Order: sequence, then C-alpha cells, then structure tokens
Amino acid sequence: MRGDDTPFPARLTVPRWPSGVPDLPRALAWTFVRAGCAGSARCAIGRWRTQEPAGVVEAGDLPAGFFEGRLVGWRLAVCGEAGRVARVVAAATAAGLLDEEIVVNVESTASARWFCPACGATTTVPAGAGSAGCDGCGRRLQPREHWSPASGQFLCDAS
Amino acid sequence: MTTYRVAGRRSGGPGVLELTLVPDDGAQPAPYVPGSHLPVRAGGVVNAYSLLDDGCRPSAYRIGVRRGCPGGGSAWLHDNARTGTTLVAGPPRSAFAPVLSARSHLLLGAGIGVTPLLSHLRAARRWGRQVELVVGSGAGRDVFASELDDLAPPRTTRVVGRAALRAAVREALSRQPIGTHAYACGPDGFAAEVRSAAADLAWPAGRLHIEHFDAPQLDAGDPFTAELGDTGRELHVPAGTSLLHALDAAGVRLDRMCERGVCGRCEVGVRSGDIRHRDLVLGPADRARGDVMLACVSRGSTTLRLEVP
Repeated sequence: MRGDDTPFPARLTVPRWPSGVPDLPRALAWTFVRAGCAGSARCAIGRWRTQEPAGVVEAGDLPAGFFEGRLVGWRLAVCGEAGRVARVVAAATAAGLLDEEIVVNVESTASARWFCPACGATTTVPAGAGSAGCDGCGRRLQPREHWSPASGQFLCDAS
Repeated sequence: MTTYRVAGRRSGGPGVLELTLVPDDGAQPAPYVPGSHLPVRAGGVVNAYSLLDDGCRPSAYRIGVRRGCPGGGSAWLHDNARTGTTLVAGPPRSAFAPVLSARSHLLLGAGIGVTPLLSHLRAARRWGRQVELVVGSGAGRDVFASELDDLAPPRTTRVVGRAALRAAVREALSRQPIGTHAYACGPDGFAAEVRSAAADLAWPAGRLHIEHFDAPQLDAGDPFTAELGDTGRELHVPAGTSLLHALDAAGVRLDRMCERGVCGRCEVGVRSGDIRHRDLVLGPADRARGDVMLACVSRGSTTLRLEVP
C-alpha cells in the first residue's frame, strides 16, 4: 500500500480497531450485529449478551429499514470480519449514528473495501492485496493509506 | 474591535431589551453562524449576547439583553443604550451552531434562553431543517413572544413554570429519532436538568449542545509551568493567576477582551501538554485535539508548550 509522498501530507488514516473486546457503555437499548462473525474465541457477541439483553442480527447487508424507528439512546454493537464490520459501520454512520453510538469488535481481517475515484464503485478485495481491477470500471486500483471511517473504504489510485 | 451604533431599541419582554446595532462606519456587518453571540463592552465589562437572526447577509446585529445585576454591563445597556449610542464589540463568535449533519434538531429553551434558539429557528426555516421546539418561561414573563409565535415549528411545546418545562424536556428527549441533535439554552439550573435528563435517557454527549448564560465562577486552579515557543523560556503560573496575566508579566501580550472564557480572543496554540479547559468557547473537537486553549481561564495539568514567541 502506498504511503503519502506529498510535501504537505494530509493526515494518513488507517483502520484502528479495538485490540480487545470492548465493554458496552450504558444505553437504553442495543442491537448486536454479526458481520461475518465466525464465532471464534475472539467473538464478542456472547460476552456482550451477558452484559445486555439484545437481539442479534445476522448481516451481510443490514435489512431495509433497519435504522427506521430507532430513538436516541439506542446503540449498535458490531462483531465480525473487518471489511464487513466496516460496511455495517458505514451504513450506521450514513443513518446518522455517531462514533459514540457504535461499538465494534473485529474478530478477523480477511477483506478490505476499496473506493475507485474514477467511477465511485466499491471493490472488495482480500486483505493485504496490492492492486486489483475495479468492479465498476475495470481500471487498475492501488490503495492509499487513506481510509474513510465514514464509508469504510480505502481511497485508491485508478489507472 | 468594531464600533457599533445603536440603530434601534425596543422591549423583548419583561426585563428584556432588544438592541439593533450597525457598524458606525457604515460597513455591512459580517455574516455569522446561527446561534452565535456578540461580545459587547458596556459599563466597563464585556458580556456575550445572543444574536437573534440567522446571520445570513445581515444588515444589522440584533441582540437580546436581559437586565442583570445593578452595575453590570446588561444593566448599563438597559439604562444607557439609546438610538445613536456607540458601543464597542468583538466579532460574532459561534459556540452553539446547528450540526449540519443532524437528521433533526430539538431546541430547548428557558426564559431568556430562547434568544439563540430564535436564530436557530430562522436558519431552520431558511434551509428547511426539521426542528422541534420546547420552551418555558415564568408566568407572564414570555420573552420575544411574538417572534416565537411567528417562528414556532409545527412541533412546538410552550409551557409555564419550571416543573412543566422539566417534564416537557424529558418527554421530548425520550422520543427523538436517531440522528437528532439537541440544543439547550437557559439558566444554569435548566442546563443541569437537561444534562441530567439526557444522561438518564442515554443521549451521547456529542448529541447535546448547551449554551451557557454566565461564565461559571472558577477556582484558583493549581500552579503549572508554561514553556514559550522555540525559546524554551519557562514561565511559572501560580494558583490564582491566569496564563494570560502571567504572559503579560513576561512581556508577551495576547489579544483579549472578556477575560472570562467567553469571547475567545485570547486563544493560544499549544504544542504539547495536558490542558484543563475552563472556557465556554472551544468545542469538543478542539478540546480533544488539545492544540489550543484560552489563556484567560484555562490552565495546564502538566507543563504546557505554547505557540508564543
């Protein structure tokens, strides 16, 4: 992955997932999401369920209307594979949740999501890949160390 | 600092004065962010007064002034500000702005605390934002009642008395859709009640925005050391002495106006060290970054390296 070689670099951003299973802060209600969660020893769902009674949603994609009717006071906790967790967090952010309202546990890192600046498509690649063809326009993508927490994607060069 | 002329004066309700200020040199006033305040020097002190309009291409600044203690700046304005009086004020300061990414906005006000909410309401109307209003006042002590009548959104609750307001605020906070930001302005007791209700209902701190009326009484603070710029020159700041005054004594004069953590003029960059913020200007993001402080009230918990010569 390329670093930043500009004379006045923007601050580089790469995902900084919690290193251990985070405890749940106080909330009025919770929903837990399994996002590619394999139920390994690093899975947080079991521990979280001992802390808070909450429904568990299996989510590759969150169901339509998932955020409708939720009130301030509700929180979301996501456990699973890094790329899929990032996708759920991006959807939650787009729905208006703040970082304070989302708890994340990354059980494994198998994939990453890349943003193509030429066509705007998202391409999911194996973690650690150095380049890949864009799923949208076919251009060659090379990721930068520039990750958007809001969209859960790495910005790429497209050639 | 700009000299303004009072272009209009009228009542905003019992004990409340509305002043319209225009730059004395005939220039157009600078636009401002909704919810901003204007630091005005009057009677020898500087107070911050909420601006009543939405700040978009203003032709004048309108402020609401509640009569305060005798001898204070607000009482001076009530007694002395007439059409044609000149006043000195700093630029508008924003510390209570609407969050543009919010899905909806809940405005909570008590008494004179409706003044910045009027600015929010005007902006909400201009930009088509979804907004709900809850305001309370003492019996017969409505403030800016006709403006509120005009600007009140469909979802408005107006109550009389502290207990009714407390209940209305809690009820409104309990049913806000995710993505809502709440803004509260009123006396310190009201602000504390809003904080308490929001905490009970698990509102994250980032969704609640409080505009303070008064600068709080501050303790003397602990002594700390400040290191100046690249020179490595060290400055001891004793308890009871502000960093601003310690810098004065060292021959470093920062800009200033209110010296109460309200106007934001004495902001100074901080290269390293832990800051004990005590101002009413900097937001959570500024505080989290920790690279700036207001020298008049804030202090160091550790040695601070400052961006001053």
